[in-house]
Amino acid sequence: MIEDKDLKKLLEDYAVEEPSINFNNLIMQRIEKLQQKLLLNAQLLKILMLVFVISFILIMIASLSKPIQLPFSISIASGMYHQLFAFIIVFWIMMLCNMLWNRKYSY
Amino acid sequence: MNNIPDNEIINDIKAGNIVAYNVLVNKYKNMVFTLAYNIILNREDAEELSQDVFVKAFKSLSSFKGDAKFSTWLYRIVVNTSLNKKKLKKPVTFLSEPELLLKSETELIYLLKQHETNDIKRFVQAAIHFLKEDERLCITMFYINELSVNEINELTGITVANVKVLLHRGRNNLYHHLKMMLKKELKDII
Repeated sequence: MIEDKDLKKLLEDYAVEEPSINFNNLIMQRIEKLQQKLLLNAQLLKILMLVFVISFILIMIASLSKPIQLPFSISIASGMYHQLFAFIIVFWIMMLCNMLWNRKYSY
Repeated sequence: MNNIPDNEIINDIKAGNIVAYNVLVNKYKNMVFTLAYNIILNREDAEELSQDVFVKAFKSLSSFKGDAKFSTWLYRIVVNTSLNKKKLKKPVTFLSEPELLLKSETELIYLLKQHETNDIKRFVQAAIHFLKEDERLCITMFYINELSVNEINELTGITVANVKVLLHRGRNNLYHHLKMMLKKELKDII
């Protein structure tokens, strides 16, 4: 047991390696950049959510009033319309699953 | 500053004081770097990897609940990232009868202490690098990172019995390599 303590002392004193001098600075720089990116992403997400909610409200209001005559017309075949709708639903389900998965398996 | 408990620093960081993370980096950088270096055996890669580990830990800090020690949580990231980098499978373990301890361990340490600090450092680091990968990993985690046998089992997937065997064998091999190097050194001097 004494030998074990001696070995521990020996390893603690002589086997601990040190990284370069600017190690801390490099990490803090990376973290600051990351923080800025996260803040920017959060702001973008807020704006997107706001646009989404406002658009939703506007469309709801518009649907209650008289149908608006648009100056152009887009004709989508009904099969294609269903495909497009299914794609959007699947896309958001996958997006949600991915977010949950990442949250669960992050350290 | 280093006496502040990790959980307090973490709460401070979570509250938005990212500068406090520097305290954690300072506290654990040598341990993280040593562990990474002893797994991948390349200084530049180990340095880059250690930085990645700290950035990853920062990103995931919100998910750290404080159930386990921060150090154990951090070392888990080091082990996983290092092994991924090295593209290794789980460390292979060999079960055999442990060799008998060398009788002159205390004498050997006494002899080592006679040398200059730098020489001892050179000897010890070289002896560690002579060890087999799994032995080196267990020795580093147990003696330097101060992890228990159970924690090593949890982080590496090596069974508790095998960790004990690897520690025993690693210790013997470490003494053996140190002894060989000292003998060579003495021969060269004479």
